[in-house]
Amino acid sequence: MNCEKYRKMMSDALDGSLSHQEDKKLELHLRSCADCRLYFEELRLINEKIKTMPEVEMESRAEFEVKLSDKLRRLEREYNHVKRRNERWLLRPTWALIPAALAIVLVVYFVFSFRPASSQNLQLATLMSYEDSYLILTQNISEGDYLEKFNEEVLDSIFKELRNSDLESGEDEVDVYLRQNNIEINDNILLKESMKFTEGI
Amino acid sequence: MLTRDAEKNLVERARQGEVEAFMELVKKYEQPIYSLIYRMTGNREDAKDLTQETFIKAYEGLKKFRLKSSFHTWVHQIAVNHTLNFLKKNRKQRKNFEYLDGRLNDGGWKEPKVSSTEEASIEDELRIKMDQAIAELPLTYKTAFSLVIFQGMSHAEAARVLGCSEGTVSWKVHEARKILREKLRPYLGFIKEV
Repeated sequence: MNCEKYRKMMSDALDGSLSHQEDKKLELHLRSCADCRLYFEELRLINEKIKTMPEVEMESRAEFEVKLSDKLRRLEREYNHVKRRNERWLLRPTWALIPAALAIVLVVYFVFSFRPASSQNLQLATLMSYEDSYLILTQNISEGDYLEKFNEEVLDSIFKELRNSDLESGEDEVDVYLRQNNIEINDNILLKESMKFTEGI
Repeated sequence: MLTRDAEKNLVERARQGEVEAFMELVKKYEQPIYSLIYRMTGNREDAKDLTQETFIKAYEGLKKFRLKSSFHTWVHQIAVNHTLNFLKKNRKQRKNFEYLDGRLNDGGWKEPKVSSTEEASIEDELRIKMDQAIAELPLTYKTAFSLVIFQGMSHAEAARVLGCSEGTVSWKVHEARKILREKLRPYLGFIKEV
């Protein structure tokens, strides 16, 4: 161990924080090292002198105490005032909060209901309207009275479509068959047959 | 002198909002706290203001104080932290210490009881030199040194106040002593005589 470490031990020894074992080590070192003996003596002298230095006294302590006491009392009054106010607030009946809650709900409702519709919202609305139509339709069908009328309407619309398509398309499967088999049939006869067929259904 | 139990009782009463009980604690600690802050700042007015603020902070924090450490340690902790914060904020203004322009004898010091005027002048000069040397210590050494030497704390207690290890306190005090020895060596002859 070098002298520097013993010098730190000297400082600890002056503060009374050196263990018995360390104290013995230091004592042995001081016996053999003249420089450290001188160093320790100087430290001890300075330490003693500093410890006997008079304390710096606070001026006008009484005035200081009066001012501090006043400030603390004011602080305590403020603390109690805040505490009482908080207690009163906590003790208020809860129904007093109902109008406030309702107002918040209304504000939230209006804010969301008047939001500009985004494309996503429009798609959703369209889907919902289809769903509503389907529900109305199935409800009408299931009510029975409308079932027959509905079937008629549906079938009429189907045959109308068929007729229109026959007239518009020109050559259909029957025409192809007749042409391939060199069968000549008057168009009017075919039309009459077709009419009879539809009436029969 | 307050016993440990009497102090605990005062702390408990002060926690309930009894200002008179807290003022009893103030009377016990105002001088050591003022002295410590003065050592750290080197200015009487600042030391007085910071002492007052320390006690106000202590009073405000008392309701949360769980008595795990002693009131003595706790109030010193508040004083050290509050003063360090103040010094950080006012770093530029803190260059000139009161001690350095030799105004110490203006009123803050007790008159030395010496037999002759010559002894008194040597004593005064030596005191000023020692004060200068202590004031010029780095703040971190000075704080640890003041707690151990002027407040009479053990390394363990000073470590609790500073929030560091005992080893750190020991090392800081050792470094402070090394600096003081270097500065005061020319006056060691006077120290032996006085």
